Amino acid sequence: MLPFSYAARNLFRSKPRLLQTIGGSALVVLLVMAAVAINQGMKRVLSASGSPHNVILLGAGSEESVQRSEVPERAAGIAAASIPGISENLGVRAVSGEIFYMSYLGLPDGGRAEATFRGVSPAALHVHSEVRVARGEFPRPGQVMVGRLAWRTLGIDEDALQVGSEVSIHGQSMVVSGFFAAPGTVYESEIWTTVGDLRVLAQRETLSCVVIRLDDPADFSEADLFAKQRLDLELTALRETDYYGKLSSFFSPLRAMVWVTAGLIAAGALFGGFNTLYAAFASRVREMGTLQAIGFGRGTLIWSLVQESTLACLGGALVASLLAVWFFDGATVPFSIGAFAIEIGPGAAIAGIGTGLLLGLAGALPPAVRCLKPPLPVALRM
Amino acid sequence: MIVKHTTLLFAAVLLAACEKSEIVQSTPRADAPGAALAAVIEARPEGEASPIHLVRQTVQPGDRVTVRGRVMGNPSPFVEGRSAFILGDPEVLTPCNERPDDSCETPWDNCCDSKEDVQRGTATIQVVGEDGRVLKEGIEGVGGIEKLAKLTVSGTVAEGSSAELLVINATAIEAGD
Repeated sequence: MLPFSYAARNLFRSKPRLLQTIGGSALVVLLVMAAVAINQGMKRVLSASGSPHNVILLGAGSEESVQRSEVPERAAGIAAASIPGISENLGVRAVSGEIFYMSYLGLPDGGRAEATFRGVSPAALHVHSEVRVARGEFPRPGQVMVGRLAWRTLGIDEDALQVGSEVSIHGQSMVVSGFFAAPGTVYESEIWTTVGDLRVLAQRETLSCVVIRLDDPADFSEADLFAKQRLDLELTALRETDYYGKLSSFFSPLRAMVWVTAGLIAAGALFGGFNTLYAAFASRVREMGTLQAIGFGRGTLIWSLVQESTLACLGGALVASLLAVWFFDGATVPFSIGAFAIEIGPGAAIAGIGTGLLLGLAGALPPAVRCLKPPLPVALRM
Repeated sequence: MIVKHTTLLFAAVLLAACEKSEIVQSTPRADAPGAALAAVIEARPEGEASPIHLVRQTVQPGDRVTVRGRVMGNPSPFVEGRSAFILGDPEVLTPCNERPDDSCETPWDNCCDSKEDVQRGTATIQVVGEDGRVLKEGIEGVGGIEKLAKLTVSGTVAEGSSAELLVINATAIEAGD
């Protein structure tokens, strides 16, 4: 068996080649880590947005899009009175009639940006228990409350909006009353205003949905029964977790495209790395022949070459991990219904190290086999 | 070589992404129904069955009615864990798979019919206990009650029913033509 130090020393025989290998593997690992983190981030934000205690009453036939859904205004009151098991706080039943609306927000600097608005009443804070007013206060008529990450989807500076800033919706001037946080959910990218104001601004006569919070998630059947008993209201009851689960499935092609993009770039880097190793090992056919002549077997030599390549690739993985933590960790990525924060957590780290190991092992084998293929007399003469 | 591999990779990822969306459906029960539900299944409907769209125009809460229809009118016509379902009027609604050149995977949702037709051609059928509340047991799979099954139902028109809304507290449900 060749000593490990032989493989380690060989790494530095050609510094440009070493840098090329480390750089190539770092790029592949960085892309894999980014793809894993983006996929996990998107899944996490969608799954965290749905509470198992919450049921959404949507318009029948609009189960996949709350924006298209139309629910009669009276449905909220009827549901509050009819469905057993609804949570109560100080005598107020946790039933929130809401309007979703996508439009442009007029910004203080005169520009405008597309935003997701949610028309709510104070009951929304009982239903969406993860929402906290972080600064300022809950909006009153003529006011909006801005999600902590809305600046990211609006494409503006983080401090471009402040409490008291003047914005507009359809030319109607509104004042920012406060900011809210709902860590890890899509709500943080939304702008909330009163349901009354949004009804007028969106020119709607109906709600988009009614969200109900149940004490016991098993009472979903009561909400489902209500929706099927009140066929005149044309409602469908969905668990909030199922709704966001469907949204997550809807975005799976987008996640796949992240992988495809990362895969295509990584493939280029991977084959570049193969070329580097082929060139590196090809110039050492004679050295390998000499080692065979003094008694080292081909398996031992392959193992040493794999060690060499794995060390270089793990070095690349280390560089990639540092870059990922430096550049990606905590960065926010906008997508059509919100924004999510990228987290370089254990999943991404394990994927990165695994990719580095795989590159080192699998990437070294074909060039190593080719390097050891010539018969000993031929190898010694090369 | 590189192009071939990347094309295969691209195709594999796209195929993996193209999973069919699933509609959440209640699971048919495997165990025997409770006594109250079993009694309704074993009872024979009384009198001549009428179409749902006509019945809902004329009846009042408390009236005895017999209707005929099929389990349809909703993507998930059964209430999960409760003895209640939606019955559709075949004179008004047509399951999508019975239309020419239609291969709808959930024909019981009547997505091919207008909202107005679904509204006037459906009724809620429920089995209530002695306390007047809907039984807390699923009815799908009991006595041949399945999606698109043809049923004849006798019962009492429930409180709150009107021309826009027909809820029947069933006393007899019979599957078959």
